[in-house]
Amino acid sequence: MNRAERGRAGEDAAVKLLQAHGYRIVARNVRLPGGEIDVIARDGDTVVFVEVKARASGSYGSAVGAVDGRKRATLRAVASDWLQIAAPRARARFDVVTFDRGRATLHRGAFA
Amino acid sequence: MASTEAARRKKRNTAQRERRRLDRLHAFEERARASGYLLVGGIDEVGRGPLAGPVVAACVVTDGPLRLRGLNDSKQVLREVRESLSVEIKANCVAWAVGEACVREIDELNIYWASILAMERALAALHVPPEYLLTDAVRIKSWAGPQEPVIKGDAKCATVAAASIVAKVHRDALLVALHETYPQYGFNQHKGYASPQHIAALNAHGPCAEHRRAFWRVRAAWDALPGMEQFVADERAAEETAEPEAVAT
Repeated sequence: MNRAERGRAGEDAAVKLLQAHGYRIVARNVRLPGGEIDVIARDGDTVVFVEVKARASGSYGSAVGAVDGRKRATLRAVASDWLQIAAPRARARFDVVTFDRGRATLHRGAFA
Repeated sequence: MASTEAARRKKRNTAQRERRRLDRLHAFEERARASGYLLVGGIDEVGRGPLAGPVVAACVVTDGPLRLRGLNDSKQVLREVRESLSVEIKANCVAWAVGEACVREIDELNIYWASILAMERALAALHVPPEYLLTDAVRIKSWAGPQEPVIKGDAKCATVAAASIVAKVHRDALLVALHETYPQYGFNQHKGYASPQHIAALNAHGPCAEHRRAFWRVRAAWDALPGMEQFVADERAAEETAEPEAVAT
């Protein structure tokens, strides 16, 4: 598998995991000039922006930590733009889905 | 030789016409000076129409006629001429200042009030305020001194035309800089106006943070994002069912 395929497969698995947690998927791969959001979902009345970190299996280190400050800033900016249009008053949250040896884990509110 | 004589006469006529046009262009300022106001300011705004970027206002204060060849409404002047005129205006006036209102403010207030806000900021930034203010068909309520709205002021009053040129050059530079951040749209070319190139890019890449969401073309590009239409519909439905409950509690 190349990078893109692994990313895609990771995202599919992440979406399944989110749905298993009762999330409703709003959109995938929302690409804006400011950056890209992997998954936008709704958890109850909260809008959730999900970053999928499909790390190669066997690698160490926290995958949540892999969402670095710059990436967080981009996500915040794009998410706030998106919310402004879609739901200016909605509660929102950032989740991260990580993979460890093929097992997906959901981190609710991984950063704010 | 007859032909060179004719050419000379033609040149003289054009020069005369330009002089007369510049005289007319100072009629409002001269009238104000005749009533005892020495410092006359002209204020104007640019960038009401574009889909992106701030609205920019400029105010130019003079104590005598600005006799600059080619001085006219910024839209009537070629870009190169505009840039050199802007430099000459700044060098020959008593004071000048620009003011901006950002995209967020445009979306919140609407473009008209945002342009007034930009003008108020330009006035506040002046080191030497004018005693008499000429505007392009608007009244700035917060301005305490005398003001005169002139319809088509940017083509009829020298100082308003000068302000429109200073504002235009300033705003163009801002959009050229914005092109560095967002090279997708061609801001350096259309300066945010709705050119076919801009609209095509808006639809292909989606809007950026500098696009005015209150403008329907930008709004349409947002609505076209994946999942957006369904989400907004759900949101509206949820709000309608939630509201009666809120009343009950």
